[in-house]
Parts: sequence; C-alpha cells; structure tokens
Amino acid sequence: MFELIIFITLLLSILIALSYLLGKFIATHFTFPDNATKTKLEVFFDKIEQPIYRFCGVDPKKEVSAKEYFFSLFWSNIFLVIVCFFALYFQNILPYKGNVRWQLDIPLILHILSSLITNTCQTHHIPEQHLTHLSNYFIMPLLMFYSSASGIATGIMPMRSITLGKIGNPYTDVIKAMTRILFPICFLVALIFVALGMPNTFNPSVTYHTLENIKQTIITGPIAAFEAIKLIGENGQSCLNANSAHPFENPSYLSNFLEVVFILIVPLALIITLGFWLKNHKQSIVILSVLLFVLIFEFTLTTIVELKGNHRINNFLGMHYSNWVGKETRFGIVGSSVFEAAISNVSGSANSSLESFHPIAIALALFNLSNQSIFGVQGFGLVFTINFILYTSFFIGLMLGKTPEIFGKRIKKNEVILSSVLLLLNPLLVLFGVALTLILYPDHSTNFYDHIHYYTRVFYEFASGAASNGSGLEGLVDNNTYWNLSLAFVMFVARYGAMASMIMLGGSLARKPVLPTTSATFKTDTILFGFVFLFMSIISTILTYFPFIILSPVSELLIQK
Amino acid sequence: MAIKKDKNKYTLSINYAHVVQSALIDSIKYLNPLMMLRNPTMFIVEICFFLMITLTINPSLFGPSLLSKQNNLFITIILLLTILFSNFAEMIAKHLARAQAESLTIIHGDIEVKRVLPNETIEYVFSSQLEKGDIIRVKEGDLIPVDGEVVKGIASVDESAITGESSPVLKEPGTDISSSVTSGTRVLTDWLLVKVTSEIGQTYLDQMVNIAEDAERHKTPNEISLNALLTATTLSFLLVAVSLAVILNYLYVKVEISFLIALLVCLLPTTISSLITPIRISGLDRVNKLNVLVMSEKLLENAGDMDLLFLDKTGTITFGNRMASEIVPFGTNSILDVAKTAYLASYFDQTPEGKSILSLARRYGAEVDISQTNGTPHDFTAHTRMSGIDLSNGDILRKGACDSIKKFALSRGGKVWPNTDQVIENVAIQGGTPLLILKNNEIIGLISLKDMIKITIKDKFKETNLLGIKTIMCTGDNALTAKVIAKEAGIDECMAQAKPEEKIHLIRDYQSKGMTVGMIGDGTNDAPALAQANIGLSMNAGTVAAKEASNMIDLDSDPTKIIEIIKIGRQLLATKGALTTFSITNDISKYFAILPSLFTISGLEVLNIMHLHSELSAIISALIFNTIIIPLMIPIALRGIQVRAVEPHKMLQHNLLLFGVGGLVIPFIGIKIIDLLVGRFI
Repeated sequence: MFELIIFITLLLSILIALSYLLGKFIATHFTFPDNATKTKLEVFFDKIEQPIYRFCGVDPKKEVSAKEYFFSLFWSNIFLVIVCFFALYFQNILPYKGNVRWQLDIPLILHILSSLITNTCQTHHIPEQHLTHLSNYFIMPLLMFYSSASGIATGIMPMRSITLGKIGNPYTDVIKAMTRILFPICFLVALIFVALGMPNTFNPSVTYHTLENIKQTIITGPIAAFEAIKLIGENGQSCLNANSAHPFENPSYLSNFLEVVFILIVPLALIITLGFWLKNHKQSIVILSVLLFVLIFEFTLTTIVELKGNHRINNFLGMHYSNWVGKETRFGIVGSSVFEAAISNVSGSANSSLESFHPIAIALALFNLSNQSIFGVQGFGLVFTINFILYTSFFIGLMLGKTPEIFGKRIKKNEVILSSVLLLLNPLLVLFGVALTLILYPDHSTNFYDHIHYYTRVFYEFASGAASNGSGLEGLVDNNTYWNLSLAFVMFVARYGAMASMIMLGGSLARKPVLPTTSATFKTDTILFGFVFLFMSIISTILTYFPFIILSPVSELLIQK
Repeated sequence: MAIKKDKNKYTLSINYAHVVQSALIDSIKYLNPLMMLRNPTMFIVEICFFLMITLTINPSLFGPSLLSKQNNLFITIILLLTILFSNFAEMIAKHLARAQAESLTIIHGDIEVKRVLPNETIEYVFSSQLEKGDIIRVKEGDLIPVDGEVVKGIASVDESAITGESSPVLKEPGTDISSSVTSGTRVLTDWLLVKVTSEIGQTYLDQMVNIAEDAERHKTPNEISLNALLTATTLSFLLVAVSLAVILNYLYVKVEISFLIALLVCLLPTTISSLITPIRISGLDRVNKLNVLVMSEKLLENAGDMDLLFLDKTGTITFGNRMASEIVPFGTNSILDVAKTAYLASYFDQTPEGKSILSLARRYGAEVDISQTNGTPHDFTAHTRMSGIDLSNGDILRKGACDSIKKFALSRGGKVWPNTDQVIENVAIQGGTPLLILKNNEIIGLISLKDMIKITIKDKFKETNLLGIKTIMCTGDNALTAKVIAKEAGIDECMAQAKPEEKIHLIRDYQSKGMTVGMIGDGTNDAPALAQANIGLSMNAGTVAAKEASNMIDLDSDPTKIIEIIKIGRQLLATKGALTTFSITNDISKYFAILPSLFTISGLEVLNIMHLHSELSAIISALIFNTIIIPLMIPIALRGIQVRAVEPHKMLQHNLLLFGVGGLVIPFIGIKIIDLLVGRFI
C-alpha cells in the first residue's frame, strides 16, 4: 500500500505539472483565429508550418463549417487508409522487408487499418511476424501519428466551438497537432527512453552465437521512437507483440512509471486547456478532480485485489501470495496494476496479461471501456467528457426550471439528439456485436466457468474495439475472417460515428451566443456540479451495462466460491 | 340582471365525475397502437403487452416455461394497467383543462357597462356581452370598454394608456380622428355615446379550449429535447433486454421471456413519459388561475428563461394619469393660501386630477368647509380647460392649464410674477405637468401634477434579481423622473426618452445576444415592442393594439404578476426534470429487484439484497410498483414542485435529495412492501 501511495503521489504531481504546461501550450497555440500578438514559439512553429500549408494548398485562416470539418478529417483518414492498404497488401513486393515474407489477407489488412486509423490499435496480428520492416516501422507509425492527430483535432474542435465559438480549420488542427504536440513531445520522450536503455536502431535484428554456440536472433528496431508515439499518441500498438511487457519496450520500474505518465499527459492537458479557454480554471479543476478521483479509485482497487491474490491458491498453500500470474517482476504488483487500470481508460498498451487479473479489475476495465470519458483515448476522451458535461448541464437545467445551458450556450433538441447518438453508439455496437457473436460462434465448453469467460472475452473485445482502446483479454483466437471484419467494422463505425456527432454538436453550439451570468445561473465550477457530473457519468454507463458486467467478470468471481 | 362583481369568479363549477368519466373512456380509446406512437416509450410497453397476451395464450411459445397461464395473465393485466394509467394521466389533465375553459362564462376583468337600447332606455350589461353596433353611454370616470366611435356628446378622454401622453384629448362626433375612442381609455369629463365598432370575441376562450383539445402540437422546445433523450433511453433499454436474452440463452440460464419483458417495462422511463403532457397542461391551468391569458405553453417555458424584462412606465408601473404632487407659491403668497385657493377652485372638478388636488391640499392642511362658502362654481370642461368658483365676496378663483390661465389673467389685466415661466419649465423638466392657480387677477401659485407609481408594485420588482432577471423601465419621460420611479418600483435600470423604434432596436439587440426578453406594456406605443419581445405581457386595461401585439394578457392589470408567471414557467420545467431524475434513479433499484430473478446462476444469490419472496413475486412486485407510481405521481405533476427564488445551488441540492436520492430509495421500500403483500398469494 505504501508503494501505491508513493507511486500515485509522484504520478499525480509530475502529471499535473507537465499537463498544466502542455494544456497552457495547447490553449495558446490552438486558438482560432491565431492570437493577435504571437509568442516567439508560435512564430517559430508558424515558420515551420507555412511551407506545409503552401504545399497542401490549405488556407490556414479559413474557418470551415462543421460538416466540412468532419468530412475533411474523414476523407483524409480514408485517403491514408487506401494508400496504406496497398502498401500492406504488396508488402512482399515493396523494399525493406527484413526476414518477413507474409502475405496478409484482406480481412486482416482491413482490421489492421481500421484499428490503426481509429487510434484503437487492437492487434490481431503479431507485428514482428506478420509485418515487414517497411510496414512495421513506417506504415504503422504513419497511421499512428495521423490517427492521434485526428483524435486531438476531434477533441479540440468541439471544445473550441463551445468555449471560443470558433469551429476552426481541420487541416491546421491536424498539422498543428503533429508539429506542435506529437513530434516535439515524442522526440523528447524517445530521447528519455533511449537514455533509459531502450534500443533505437534501424538495424532490424541482432544475431549472435550463444555460449552453447547456438545462433540466436534478437529483434530490435526503432523501439524508443515507436514507444514514444505509442504512449503519447494513446495508440497502444507496438512493433513488438509483447508490448510494454517486453524488456526493450519497458526496461525498468522507472520506465514503467514514466510510461504511465506519458499515456495520461495529453488527455489531462486537454482538460486543462478547457479551463484556459473558458478563462475559468476552477472549471477544469472540478472536472479534473472528478476524473482523477475515479482513476485513483481504480488504481487503488485494482492494486488491492491484486495484492490480495487468489484466496483459493493461498488457502491451499496456507501462505499469502499476491496475484503474480502474468505480471513482470520488475514492475511489481503496483506497477502492473496501476498501468493496467490506466490503459483500460486511455490506451491499449499492456505491461502484463489482463487475462490473469482479478475479475474485479476486469470489471473495472469493462466499466472504463463502456464509459470512455475517464480521460479516454486521445481527443475522444475529451469528447465524451464534454458530452457528459452536456448531459449533466441538461439535467441540472431542467431541475432548475430554465432551458439548460452548457457554459452559457443553450442546449436545444439538436444537441440532445447528437449527444444521444454518441451515447447510444457504444451499446449498440457492443451489445449487438456480443449477441451476434454468441449466436454465430458460441463456445461449447462444458465447464461453466470457461463458458462464462468466453463471453467475458467476447464482451471485452467488442468493448475495447468500440471504445478505440485496443486492449484485449487474450485467449480469443481472433485472427480470423469473422473477428477481423466484425471488429474492423465496429471500430470504424464507433470512431467516425462519434467523430461526426461530436463535430456536428460543436458546430451547432459554436454559433450560439453566450448568455450572461446572472444570479439564477447555476455555477458549473462547483463541487456540487462535480458530484452531479460524476453521478451522471457513472449512472449512464451502469444503467446500460450493469447486467452485462454482472454476468461476466462479477459472476466469474461469485461462482468461484 | 344580477351582476356579481367578484373578479375572481370564473370557474362556475366543474363536474368532476364527468371529467373522470370522459378521461377513463379516452384512456381506453387511446390504447389504439397508432395513437400510442406519439409516445415511443409507452408504445414499447404496448408491444410488450401484446407479446404478453400471446404468452398468456401459450406460455411455451418461445420455449419451455415454468410459468402458468395465470402468471402470465397477471403480468399482462399489470402491463395493461400501466398503459391505462399513463393514458389516464394525460387524459385527466386534458379534460380538466377543457372543463375549466368551458365553464368560463364570465371573462375576467369584465366591467359593467350601460347599453343604450333603441328605445333610449339603458340596460346594464357586461362588456363581454356587447356586440358590434351596440351603443353604450360612458360618463366621466368611466373606462371605455371597447373600441368605438363617438356618436353623441363631447368629452375629454385620458388616452395615456395608448399614447403614453398624459394630457387629455378632446373627443367629439363627426371628425376623423377625434371621434374614435379606444378601449382602455378613460373619460375624464362629460359624457359620450359610443357605438361599438369591434367584436369582443371569445377568442381567448377559444384559444384555451383549443390548447386543451390539441395538446400534441403544443410541445415546448425543452419537451422536445427531453423526449429525444427519453427515446434514446428507451432504445438503449430495448437493446439491453434483447441482448440480455441472447446472452442468458448462451449461458444456458433458463430465462423466462415474461421476466425479460417485465425488466424492460420496469427500466423504461414510463413515469416521466406519462406525465410530461399533464405537467404542461397543468402549468397553463395555473396561469389561467392567476387571471392571465397565455397564447401557448411555449411562452411559459420562455418566461422561465427570461433574462431581461422591459417595462413600460405610463399605465404599467404608474397609474397613467397624473396626480397633484406639489404646490409652489409665487411671490409673496403663502403656501397655505395657495392650497386653499386650489382647494376651492378644484372642488367642482370631478376629474381624477381635480380630486387629487383636493387630497393634496388637505395634506397641506388647507381644507375649507365648502358649506360655509357661497359662490358660482365653474366646472372643468374640455373647452375652457380650467375650473373654479366665483365667490360671493367677489373673489374669482381659477385653476387650470397654464396657457388658459395665463390668457385669462392677462385678459383681466392681471399680474404675473417674474419667475413664473421658469418654475413652469422646471416642473415640466422633471416630468410633471404644471397647473396654475389664479386668484382674481393674480397668478398666485402652481400645482405640479405627476404620474404616480402604483402602490401595489412598490419594491416588488426587487424579486426579479433573485430570479436572475434584469429589469429595464422604458419611458418617454426625462431621465430624472424615470430614475425616481424606477427606484421606487425596484427596477434596475431605466431608459428615458425612449422612442418606440429605439425600444425595438434595443430588444432586438439583446435577442441577438441570445437573451430572452420580456416586455410589459399597455399602450399602443408599446405594441411594436410587445410584438418583438419573446414574452409580451399586456395589461387588460391597455389598448386593443397592445393586447393584439402581446402574447400574454393580464386581466388584473398587475405587472408584478410577471414574477409569478416566470416562476410557473420554471416550475413546469423543474417538475419535468425532477420526475425524469426520479424515473432514472428508480432503475437502479429495479435492477436489484429483478436481476436476481433473471440470473439464476448459483453464486449470484448475493445479488438478491432485497430478499424478495420468490422470483415471480419479485417480478410482479416491481411491475406493480412501476404501475402505481404513475397515478401516485399525478398530483405532483399537476401541482408542480416548489420553485422559490433561492440560489440555484440550494434549489438543485434540494431537488436532487428529494427526487434523486428519493428515486433511489423509494422503489426499494415500495417493492419490498408490495412483495410482502403479493408474496402471500403467489
């Protein structure tokens, strides 16, 4: 427990300090139109970006409509997918193959592309086995950077529309997300990782003879660089299948700690940006406190159940052992549990096997995947947070008898419909997907526990796909046509459905005038608002998913007794 | 004809038995699925009901079932009752509103008028009974109840309510402009015969009946948002029930379809879906009881959103006619002398102004016993514009408009003190109307007439601050007077020397900033602003033009009622919000009541925290609770939850505790009690 307290305290203090800086940075750099007087940093980045705008023929000062904003993002994503599709399909013809000669089938390519462009990075393939060096080290990071930048744009656009009343320009948002957030931070992070001992080389493997004179090949690669975008971009896919459990990707306790910091930094910063743009830091403090409260609760609960271990094994042995199954000893129970609780909210990396975690930890993860607002995946977590703020404001407005308003903008039918679409999308895809899979591909195990666990895995797979998270309960044989195609579809619809509804919502709110604050205006930067926000966020997830979470991990726990 | 002067008497009697009876009949009529489509939530319940009918006929329709036909029949009946209660809630509100509208035989604010019959006899009738072409007689002091044309007589009429101008206007037959009179104006002197030119219809009545009849088309914007949310919730629960059926089937858990249907019905937000319409109709009814006519329910919700309130001064905040407020002596004359002269000169002036001079003079201690005084009185007429008395001792006392008195004095070679013109000007600058007082041939003093604030609204508008509304008073007066009156009424700001087009411009400006603007006025000069504002409340004593431009009419002409209207608007929405919260938090407890009956997996018994009698009784208890909560909530829906002018923070806390926490706890208790009763029989 002592370790956990130190871990969380250090994590929070570093995280808040760094994300405050980043949040302030985003707030000044992503205003639209540009600030009248620019800081030196802004001028510097402008100079870098000017040639890119000129090359692409983009007018960075032009504000577009919400519809244009969405379709620009959408079609640029699709364009990239088409290009990458050919690159992957013909990977055996293209150069820089390394030792891999694997002809990827179309469903798998579609799954990989859908998974990467949606920032999900659910891996049904094994990177070092299925992908050539070109695919693994160039195509994947390309998609990872672009999907992450698209995610940041999708998060920033509704936030800017609501707070500043400006829709902005999708091209500048994506390009700025790359040049001002992702590239510089990833560069620094990669340097830190190299310093911590991660390999970073274009030499794909090291071959040597062991003492027993056996020829052994160790796969290396630009791992530190890859790791940086994997974490900062909330992607979660790595160039190595073992992900953050691999010693090259996560060599020490310190690197593990830093990885947790890096996964959470951008989502936290975006919420601090909200405070800057609203000119009300109390607002972001309230929201941040609620989200951090949930996160810390999950850290603690996961760690407690993991430290306790499996009571049956402990009873049998007559000794107390924590649950070490599937965990790396260099991270310890705390390092693994906190990492796991964090990634089920934001990214899809893994430093331990989620499959071996306590059912309570899995139930929490399923809750996070269904809720999506607890920091969430790059940009989209913010989108869901804003959506819950909208819902909370809607209910509060009704209870007070005034037409509800979100930060002074009136919420009308249009906004309620769009945000309902956002909330309905997840259960529709997940529950329908689970039901369909259980009908088409039931598990015929006679062991009731295995039977239930198969359902948990299916549920988790769809939940992780629909939440653009990408983590997984291993054990499903999921590299087949059904799983690849169904999840490619789920990830795609969930991502672009959410993107469309939230961008349209932003557009609809952008033009609305901000009402002046009066004595009858409910202040949203208060503890009461925080409570209602927390309650709304939890209850809207629980109401839909309660029976399903009870049936899977919770029943696994209960029927063990 | 007996005339009761009870202003509030408008509901003669409502036949409650008849209302309930027709509501019951309609609830059954509305079982028609096509009609149910108007409410998606209840439509799903109805589909469940039809499913249950088939399951009653054949319990094993979807696979083997342990439930008997009687069990299913019982569930079917409860579902039918749920739908009937929901329909009944809506119908009883509709029928009550209709019954009230129909029983409205006397329109509020009706006044007694003298109708001149063709044989020259006079009949006393209510103004609402007048028809076009009737001739009525109005004498000094009377309110002209209708628009009309002067056919006989000559009189000065106070048209300040229409024009905002305080000076009286002369009315006589045979001219274009000065022979037409407008309703809401008041005869100051003499008498007139007026021919009614406009139809006083039952339009407001029709409006009300129409609203009660056709509630569907009157959904307010927030109701549409709320309905969208409820439809989304309904869809997600439908999804939950269907996928749960598949998953339980996969897990080899024997699941009764009837139980799943029961789960779905219990989760659906039936309570709030059934009560939305009754809440809306009840709000309209409450406003009507306030003696305010409202054109649509949307306005009530808009009123709750009001950010800014413009008020017209003349006739709305003030009486609209001038009262004597100050006496100024000229030269060497003492104030008492002037007051005494004014008293005597005004004694025979029957206009409100004349009477106000008497009361002012009395306050100066200048009352004169008139029985001791002999003389020839001169009444105030529209021609001379002065009144007075020629005393038996030869003194000539006069009081009247400045130019008339001056002319009168000069014609008699009289004396005018040098500062007279300056004092007159000062009074005029401060918004007063100067009257001069003449004794023999000397102008001895001045009386200042001022428009006085209505006593009932003093400080009342301060409450709008608590409701978060800024009040702005518009007046044609100069800034100094306006400020004084605004302060007295508790109004935040004033806009002096406002022209009608400036008012509209200002209102538009605020509206473009997203604000909801209210306007209260009574005169024709306010009509454009009343039409432009989101909420236009006109006074019944106002002109037809104002009433037509406005969308709410206060029959008692009390502008402070706007505060009540705003509160009712907020109350409607707050009631909807509270019941939605109640409906949603209910679901948590219902999950705990029903899921143990569905999840019959060994090990999951821990879920059964309520320890209900049996699986079947748990389901039936939850369903019964779900059903009876609808009629139990009807009184809350019709009465509305309390809205006080308190900090929004406190109000939210209070409502959350009551309906949020209450919604979580009540089902636990309710279902347990029902289970204790039902468990004996199942």
